[in-house]
Amino acid sequence: MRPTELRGRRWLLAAPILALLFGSSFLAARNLLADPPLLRAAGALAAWNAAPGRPPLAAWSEVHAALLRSAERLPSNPITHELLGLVSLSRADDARHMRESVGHFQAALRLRPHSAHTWAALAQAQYLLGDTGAAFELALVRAAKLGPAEPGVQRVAADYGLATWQHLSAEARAAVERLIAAGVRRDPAEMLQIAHRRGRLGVACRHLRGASRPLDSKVSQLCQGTEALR
Amino acid sequence: MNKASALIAVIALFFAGLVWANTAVVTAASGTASVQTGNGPARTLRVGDQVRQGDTLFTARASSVVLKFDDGQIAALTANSRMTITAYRYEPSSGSGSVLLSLVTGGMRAITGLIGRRSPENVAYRAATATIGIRGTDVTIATDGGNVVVTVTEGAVSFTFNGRTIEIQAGEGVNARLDGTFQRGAADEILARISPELASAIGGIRGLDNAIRDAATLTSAGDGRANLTPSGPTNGVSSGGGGTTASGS
Repeated sequence: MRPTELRGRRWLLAAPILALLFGSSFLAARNLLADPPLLRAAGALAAWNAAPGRPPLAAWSEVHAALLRSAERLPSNPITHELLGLVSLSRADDARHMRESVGHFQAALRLRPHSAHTWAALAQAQYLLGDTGAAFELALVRAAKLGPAEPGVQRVAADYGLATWQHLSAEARAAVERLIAAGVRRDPAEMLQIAHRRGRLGVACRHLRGASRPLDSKVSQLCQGTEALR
Repeated sequence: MNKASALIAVIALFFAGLVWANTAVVTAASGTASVQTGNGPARTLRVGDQVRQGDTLFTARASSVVLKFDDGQIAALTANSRMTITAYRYEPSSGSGSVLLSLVTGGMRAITGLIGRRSPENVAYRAATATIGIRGTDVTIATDGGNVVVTVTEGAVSFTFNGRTIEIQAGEGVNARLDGTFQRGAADEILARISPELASAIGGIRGLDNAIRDAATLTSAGDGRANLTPSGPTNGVSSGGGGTTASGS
């Protein structure tokens, strides 16, 4: 049998299985995402994020309660737990909800351990809780390793990685720096802005040569004084 | 699948919104400084952290922190201080907003930003039972056990204490005591008579001149992010001048 014929037969066998897998995944996703509280929560998060100040308590409580009911109804949906984590995190003025957010992100990660965004969100929650120990570092490293090309993950890991830079292990520093390098290649101004705010320009500036975009004069000016461009 | 895309977009948006509006950024921190939001746990404050309305900042012994708000307002806290951002609202498009910083204990130098320049009546500081309304840009405040000392480097402030309001001009100071009495005069004279605790707080503020100058050279983008454009010092900040070093009256 020719190799092309063999390949064709393999495809004949694999195609229905793949179709079944895609179909069931699609149906599962559609059913889960059709859950109105999830969409409402997502919309509310977007609105709160755009507005100054903290979310109004009444609206927040409503969304939070609806998500808790969804989690009870369908505990195996990682998106519900992730949204619960984000919603809880938006009330940083309440210690109870801050701690809750960590639990929700951990629950989401048990269901979907390869989500770089969730690891990044967990690192953020732990940082805001003042817990920058081993668990924080693990979350940061996992996020950096799983989502090196994700802009959101790059921002979080760079921000909190540079904030705790002097306390990070060599492995964690390397992971964060690889992600910063990727971030600099994607959008040098954004990554330098974070590094500048964190007082760690040097870490970002030494990757400027790999930037894909033409360098703005302001950006290169910012790195002038650092070791990287000397 | 549009719904899935919408959810993912929202989650990504959350991460994109890491830099919030209406905030102050820590531009310098030394020793042990922490922040508490509401009844949340206190966490270590690091350079680049953002603080918001309702947050309370603490500095321990031999520690300090310098904040730069979105409108360019600077607040520097010396050791053993506690300050609450009671109110901070800033609308970048119009340059309007309001500032109310409450110093519970310790020392603070405050240099007003755009809000203070455009609407000085919307900027006020509290220290113990005193309220300081600003008519200028650069003021140093220290409070300990209900006693309050204020000196003005640039502009003027209205000082309200025990039901009375007086105007203090640049180069002047006031020492208000817990018993309700106060003394007004040249800043140097006032500072020569204050308690060791208050003198220590004022001395700590003087040591922050460089950090304050560095904060002033960072221009604000109005959205909580330090702008990449380097700029010269803002009003009231000079390399040699501390908030309490003005002489004459």
